[in-house]
Amino acid sequence: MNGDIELENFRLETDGLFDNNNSQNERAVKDQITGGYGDKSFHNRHEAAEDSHLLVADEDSRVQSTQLGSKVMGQDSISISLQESSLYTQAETGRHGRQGLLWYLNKEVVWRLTLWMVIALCLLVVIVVVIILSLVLYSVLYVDEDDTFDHKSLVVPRFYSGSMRLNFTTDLLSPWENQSLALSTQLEEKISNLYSASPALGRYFSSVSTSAFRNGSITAYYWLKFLMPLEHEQLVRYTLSQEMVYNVLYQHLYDQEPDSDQLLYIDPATVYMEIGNRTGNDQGNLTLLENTTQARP
Amino acid sequence: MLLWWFLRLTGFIMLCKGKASKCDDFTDLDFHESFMGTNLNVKLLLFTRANLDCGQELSHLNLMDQPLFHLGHTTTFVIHGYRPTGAPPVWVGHVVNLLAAQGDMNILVVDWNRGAANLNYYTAVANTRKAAENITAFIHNMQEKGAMLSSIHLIGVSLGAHVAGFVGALLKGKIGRITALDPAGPLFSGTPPEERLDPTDAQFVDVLHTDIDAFGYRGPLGHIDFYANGGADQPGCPKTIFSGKSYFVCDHQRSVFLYLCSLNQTCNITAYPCSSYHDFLDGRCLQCESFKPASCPILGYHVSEWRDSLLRLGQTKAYFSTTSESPYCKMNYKVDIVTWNQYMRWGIVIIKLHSGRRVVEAKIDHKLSKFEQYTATRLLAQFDEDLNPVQKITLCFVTGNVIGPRYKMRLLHIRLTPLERPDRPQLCRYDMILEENMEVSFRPMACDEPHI
Repeated sequence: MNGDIELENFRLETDGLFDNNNSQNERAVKDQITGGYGDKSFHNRHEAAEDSHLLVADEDSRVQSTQLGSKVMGQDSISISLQESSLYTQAETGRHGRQGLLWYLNKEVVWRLTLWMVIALCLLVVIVVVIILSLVLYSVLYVDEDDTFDHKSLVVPRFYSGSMRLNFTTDLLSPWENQSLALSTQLEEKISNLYSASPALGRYFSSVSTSAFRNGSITAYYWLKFLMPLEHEQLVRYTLSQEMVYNVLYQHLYDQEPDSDQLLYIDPATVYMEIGNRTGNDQGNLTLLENTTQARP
Repeated sequence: MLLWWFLRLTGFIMLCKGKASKCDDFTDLDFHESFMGTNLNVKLLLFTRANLDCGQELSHLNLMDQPLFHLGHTTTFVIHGYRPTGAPPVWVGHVVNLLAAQGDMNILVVDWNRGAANLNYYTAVANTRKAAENITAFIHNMQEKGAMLSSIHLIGVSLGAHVAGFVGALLKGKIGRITALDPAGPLFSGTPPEERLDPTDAQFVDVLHTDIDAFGYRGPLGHIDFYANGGADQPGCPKTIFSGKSYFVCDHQRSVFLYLCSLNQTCNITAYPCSSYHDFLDGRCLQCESFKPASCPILGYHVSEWRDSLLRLGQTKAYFSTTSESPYCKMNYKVDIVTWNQYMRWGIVIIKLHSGRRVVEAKIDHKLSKFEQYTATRLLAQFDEDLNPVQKITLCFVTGNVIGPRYKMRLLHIRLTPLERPDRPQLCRYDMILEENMEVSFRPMACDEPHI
């Protein structure tokens, strides 16, 4: 490398003169390059040298004792490089480009930090910021895979049915049919709400139908419909197991305070549930309901 | 009035005089004697229900001279260990009182302080053989007078455990029982069975380990070996040398205090036979199948009730955890959790039980537990106090991640089984979401499902 050789030459000179003072070395290189650029004219060279003196004033103060020598040195270097630039053709400018890059990299930008240090520092900061940003983005954009599901995939129905006793004071004046209807609606809403709110069962819950009967006490019958995906072997064994469906209802009723002023209090102990193996729609449920009523004494 | 005062004074003087003349005390040596070394002299101090506070030295030859000594009763020897300072052990009075409460027996406190109190541990170890020969000679004498070997129980602490082992070996293992409380490890570790305590030394050998990483013996030595808190570091014992003497002796001494608590029976410490403490903490050893229909063995004096099953099993290692203070009992719950998360979750679980205003907490954090979809994860939750009835339970799931999304654990089912109280109902709850670091409270239900 020609540039290196040149540098070495300078070093040899400066070594001899200034006791291997690196800052002097650097300055010499800078000066040389300032002068070395083709667009700089002869009469600019003193200015350029002086400019660089101003730029590196702190250095100068450090090496004041050798300032005179350095000026001489600077001028020398300029003259040498000028000679060179006049000799070499344009094809050689690439070499100067590399030399220029080196100079830029070694230039002190802020408080003894040279450019390459600053670049490295910037890179490091960028990398850290990217890492932190991506982590933050991941946390923000993270979609819980268990929260997402496809409604359309839920096609296979599963039924549960059972009964519960209601603690409900009947109004003797209005006809029982009306009261029964109101009670059923209320109960349906309650059951529907509790299953829809269930984290595990909510997505599979489809519908509920109920009917209330006065039979000594008031007994309500209910039918639950769940929809499952085609692959449901595990689901039936765990999430949609009878134990689970029953206990979700049970613990909801269990958490209710008996003395709360809720209109509809159901004693959890009276809840009964079985697996309905029949597939059908609400109409079918109604027919079953009628059958059951007839079957009961 | 004056007469009453006079009577009281004379009574007091007579009592003092009586004590001074009649009672024999445990040898109390000074530190300089321990430094110089003393010659071994084995004293047998007899305590019975009739003289709980006043030991009587028993003659080795004419043991029938002592009217309080009944050959028909069981005889329990209490053998102390290495005494570097020469002072009598602090627990002698307690152990005598509590043993006497178990039954009418002869309690013989073996005082070999003159052999055990020596700064040179090697000398004390060498003296164990001589002390053992001395005690053996006495037991031979008892046997000649008609005592049954099977009615003899040796309780040895530290070095005393090996003394008991040597006595048992000299009597060809015909002694009824040896209890070893943290048998000494230094100079005994790695020795063949004849040079230490081993299960052949008595018909039944039960061992309690509390300091296997310092003064205690690491390996199993008896038919059942209890390891308190894994056998190494005991809760409540100082962790640094700045605490002085107790830093050295606390773990080792804990064995005696645990044993005293088992005699006291304020609460029973259930131990779980297992291959390691880690497996026990993982909840892998909570069934005690091999003892069915009996429960898991109980630490201490009353483990003799499990004797037949334990003899059949050969050697058993049993683990338990304790609190830092007397009575040391923990309340253990088996926790079964089934989750429905698609992907595996790792984390620790913190469980709080509420009863009225009282709250106890168990942190299951000895390692990260794995929760897999539709797979039951078994945990062991250890509480410092037994709260009953449990009115509220608080759960918290912690992954320990500092950054990243907050994961959720979706429970299908959690079941808490009180291990030490099978009479109490199991506690259940269904369908819950535990968000990371967020506490979720609920009212537990009894697990029975009669209406399905």
